[in-house]
Amino acid sequence: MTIAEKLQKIAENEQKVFDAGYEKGKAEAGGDDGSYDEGFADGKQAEYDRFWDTLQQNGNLKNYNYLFYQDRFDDTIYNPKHPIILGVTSSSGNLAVFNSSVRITDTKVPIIAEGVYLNQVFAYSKIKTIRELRVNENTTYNNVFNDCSALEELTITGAIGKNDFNLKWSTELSKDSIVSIVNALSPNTSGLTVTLSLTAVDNAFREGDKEGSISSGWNDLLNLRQNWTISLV
Amino acid sequence: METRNVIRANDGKILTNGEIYGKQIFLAVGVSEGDFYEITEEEYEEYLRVKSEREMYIYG
Repeated sequence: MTIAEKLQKIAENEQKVFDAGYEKGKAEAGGDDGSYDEGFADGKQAEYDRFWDTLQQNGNLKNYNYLFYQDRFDDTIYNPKHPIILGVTSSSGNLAVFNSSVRITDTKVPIIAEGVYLNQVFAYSKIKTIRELRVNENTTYNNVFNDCSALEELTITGAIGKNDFNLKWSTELSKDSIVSIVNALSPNTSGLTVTLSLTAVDNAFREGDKEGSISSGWNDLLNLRQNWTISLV
Repeated sequence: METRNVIRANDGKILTNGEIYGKQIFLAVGVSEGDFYEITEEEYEEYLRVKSEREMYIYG
């Protein structure tokens, strides 16, 4: 059964699951004695678990290609139970997972992308917060953050070391995010460039009110990874 | 600690050496500023458009 067919079946059975949870909760509470809320919550939790355990194969799903593409999910429906493990190893890589996602603003769970090829994963999305993107020195990046103009918070764990890293579109990127990115740059590589938004860096590290006056905090950060070219656009 | 070399483009321009592009570029140790020249911002945006179209076509 394909994922689309599974989703269809889940949607068809949604009311049955809810009713089952409700009746179960009601029965265990001894009928209508004020335990409706508890039964309702149990039913709702059971429905949530069933949906996300099925969709994410109990946390074992490795192919999320196009899963959260465009407007399929919004922040209410998108609420993964398990970390998102990107594990596609084919030549096109982990493709367009959140590409053009305009209704999800927060990834909510860690995205594990160690040693894999990331292909347009967040490109053209309106995501504001990427809670954790876990990478290693073998993770490669192809147009991953193109046009991520809404991105404010990005936490990178691990190391960036395989190829260039470009966030020039993210003019709202926070200071903590910029620090996270620079700290993640591998000290063991050479010839690579990280590109950031000049607006974001200026806003994050501005000293006083003068535009373009960058504080010593930025210089301290630059000194951490002198093996990397840091370009501001 | 070796001080970084930083190069800055004139208003409306982008600096490039054919691989690295930026308005302000904090060069890694060993990268020469002599290789850089200016292009317009429009030329840079066109480069990005063509590059992403090519890469998205090739890589899916």
